[in-house]
Amino acid sequence: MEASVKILSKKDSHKILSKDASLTNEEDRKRKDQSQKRPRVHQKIQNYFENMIDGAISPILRLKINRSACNMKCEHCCEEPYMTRDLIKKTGKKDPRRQMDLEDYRKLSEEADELGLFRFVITGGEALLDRNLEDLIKVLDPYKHLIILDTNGFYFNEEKAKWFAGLGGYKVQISLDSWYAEEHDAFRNTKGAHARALNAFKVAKEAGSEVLLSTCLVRDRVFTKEFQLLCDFCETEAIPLYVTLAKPVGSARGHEEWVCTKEDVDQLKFLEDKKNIFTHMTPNYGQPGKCITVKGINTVNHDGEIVPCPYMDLSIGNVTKEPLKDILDRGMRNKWLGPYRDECIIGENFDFIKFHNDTVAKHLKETPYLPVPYEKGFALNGSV
Amino acid sequence: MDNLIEKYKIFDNKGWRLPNGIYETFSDQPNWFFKLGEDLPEDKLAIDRIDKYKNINRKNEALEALLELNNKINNNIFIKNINNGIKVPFVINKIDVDDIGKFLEEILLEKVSKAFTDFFPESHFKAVIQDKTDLINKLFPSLNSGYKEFLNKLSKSDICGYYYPQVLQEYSVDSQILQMKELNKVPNLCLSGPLEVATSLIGAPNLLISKTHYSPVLCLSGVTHIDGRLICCFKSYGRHLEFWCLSQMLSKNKKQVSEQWSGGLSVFTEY
Ligand code: SF4
Repeated sequence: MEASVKILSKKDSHKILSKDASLTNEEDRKRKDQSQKRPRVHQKIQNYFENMIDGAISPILRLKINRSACNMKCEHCCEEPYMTRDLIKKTGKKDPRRQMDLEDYRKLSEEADELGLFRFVITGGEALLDRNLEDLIKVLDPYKHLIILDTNGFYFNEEKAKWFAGLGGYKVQISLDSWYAEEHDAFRNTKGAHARALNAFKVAKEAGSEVLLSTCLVRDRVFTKEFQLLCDFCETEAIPLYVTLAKPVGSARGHEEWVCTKEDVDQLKFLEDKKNIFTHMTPNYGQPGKCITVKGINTVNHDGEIVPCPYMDLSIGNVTKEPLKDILDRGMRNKWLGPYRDECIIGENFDFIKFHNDTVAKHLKETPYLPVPYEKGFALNGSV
Repeated sequence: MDNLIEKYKIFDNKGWRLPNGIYETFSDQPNWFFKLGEDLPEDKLAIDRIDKYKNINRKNEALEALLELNNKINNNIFIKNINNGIKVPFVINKIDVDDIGKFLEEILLEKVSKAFTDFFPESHFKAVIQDKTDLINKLFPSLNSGYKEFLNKLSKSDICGYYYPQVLQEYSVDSQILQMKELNKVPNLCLSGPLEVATSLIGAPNLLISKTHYSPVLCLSGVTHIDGRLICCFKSYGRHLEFWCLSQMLSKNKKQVSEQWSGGLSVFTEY
């Protein structure tokens, strides 16, 4: 299995890799593949490379749909405060804010295309619970953008796999929290979740989709036998392993013991050379590994608020109210979010974590609805 | 006299270059989230390592010259605070470098790589350029940076000195260069560039590696790329060491001003 970072052999390790050579074989293969299947995507990737030296960004837009409805109830989930079931418990009613509709998503897809963005992740909760999912995929346009489906795999059977691939879907991202079935099922509060997830990999591959195994790492897990077994499975099945790190936010707030240390993160960076394992901070597309707020993944909340990192609850603007471009530009000028930095600010920078959590706590005293709007959160930081 | 010293104070008590409201920095006062300097080798050990990879001429004389240089810095009321920051020694044999990029790409990086991977056999050294080209004929001394004078002196004599990697932490690269206008009257001081930073890394291969802290990105701003959008730097990636020639553009019209990026100053002497 090829490593997710290209490393020259020791003898040659001082030799300079050009931007193209710094792509992994896998990135290179996928790029060539797109030129035939999705010429518009290929063109956007090429443009991104051309403009990268001018500071161009091409983040993924991660769409949280269907009020984050989910069939599971995971221990580490940071999505719970956004879910209707949680809001009903707290307020007796669902989120009254206007929700994004298909027309909003069509407009967003067009804006994203104009800006040269080429990836949408559809997530929830569990995205497959949304009855309008097919219409959503169509308005996003799977031939202009790579459509990546985030799922716990429970309902992703053979039929769904064929349906997704047939619609032009690109990749299925399936979560597995432990190689041990009992542990995974207990973590997810769902019996049979592990077996269904394993089946989801099989059917997705058979249907011709790219697949990826997503797993959440808590402190010290990277050093365990269980994690080694998970890596072995991925290696045998040729499935890239995407690792997310537990953060001191959402339901993990107050669970400091879950939060990864630099030692965990360094061990992962070390494994990247040996296995097809990566985080969203792994060097890719000719960029060094770094925190990717605004530049890498922006979450689009149900009501259109854009959150510059999957683990934050602070917005940089609302896409139903102003152009996406203005929101991203504003985010890039924010002192915490734009400038280059290596560490994960929401996981490792205690000044930022305090700012984030205090701002969220203050906001939640006034209203139960997240994320915190720009004016009350990130606007309080300076700009560069 | 005290007032005069205060007025012309160049470095604060941590050895950080005071921006005096003129230069573009990430903050007015760093909080040093990005740190260096765990278990750095003593000068002698660092020089021995440099010798192992670069065969130093007259090693003992170099060590004596370093000691003398250190005393001189401590006795100079205007610059002595620089010694309150982290410093790493370097020794470079007399050499005439007419193409900095070529020298870096073909000779220096190989030595940095070897010294680093000998020290950390499990780790990698990687060099990447965000461009389809190479560094040959692409790097030139930055204007007023003192790097040209440094290279001139090196072409005539063996040189040793100290690299102060965090003096210009949080400065934009343009401001790292600009602030040299006020310093270029100080003899034998330059904005740090590839030759002495690479040599310092050979002597102290663990400079950027820490179990607990993230380290700054070491900009080599003593030299400028012919494409003004690109800069060269050394950085860590976990327990790995990397050289990057990468874009300093935050957006089309704005350059990085990063808490993590750091320019250095080098103080040197012929020996
Ligand atoms: S703060 Fe952390 S999780 Fe968020 S984008 Fe940065 S690295 Fe990723």
